[in-house]
Amino acid sequence: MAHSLILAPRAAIAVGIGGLAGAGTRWALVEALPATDVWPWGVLAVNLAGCLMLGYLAAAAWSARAELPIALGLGTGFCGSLTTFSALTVDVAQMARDSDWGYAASYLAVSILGGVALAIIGAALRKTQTSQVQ
Amino acid sequence: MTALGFVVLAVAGTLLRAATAQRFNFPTWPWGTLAVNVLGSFALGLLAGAGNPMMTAVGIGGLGALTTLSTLAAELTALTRPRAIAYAAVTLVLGLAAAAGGLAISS
Repeated sequence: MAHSLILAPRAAIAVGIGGLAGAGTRWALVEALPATDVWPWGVLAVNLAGCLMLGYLAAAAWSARAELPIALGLGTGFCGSLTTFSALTVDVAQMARDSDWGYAASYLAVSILGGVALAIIGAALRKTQTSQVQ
Repeated sequence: MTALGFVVLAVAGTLLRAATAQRFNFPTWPWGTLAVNVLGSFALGLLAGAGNPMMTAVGIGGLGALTTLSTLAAELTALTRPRAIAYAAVTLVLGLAAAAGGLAISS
């Protein structure tokens, strides 16, 4: 991995297009599944789906293919921008400020632990498919 | 206007996150992802507390794309267990503190 702040032009284009598609999908889901007085369902849905998808894609991260623009566009771009951390922390901080400790703790736990579990499942799906091909 | 701002800021947020990750993420500790997640949480806290009309473009577009949960989750599965626990704890403590701090300043 090059330790430069400048992205290669083709990688930057792929990451930018993927990021726009991911953020646009998140916006649409947030509008379609608004926050109830329990949890922000739209944010939770895109966060969990993105963790599963990136887990699947990242299982190939140490192969040469991971450096291809399409892999960067789908992984860093689409999945990275489909999911969000700032909406999670601000929503949890607001729940805590309103003394909704149960909602805050459970929403945070489901997002983080669920996200990690789905990333592991995504990687396992990828390995199952790879071993079937071989 | 909101749609144009959303497009520009979503692309900018994504590219800033990608460039920061490329420069500052290391196999033993993803400093770049940590930095964008904490700074993005603070900025969204500032924006959310103010009840800002630019929430869609700046908050959902720019800061939503700048910060990421999927990369965090993938990094947690790739780090050694002690490092993963430390990285998760540091990200959550700093991220929540930054969000709460931003909210406190703006509201």
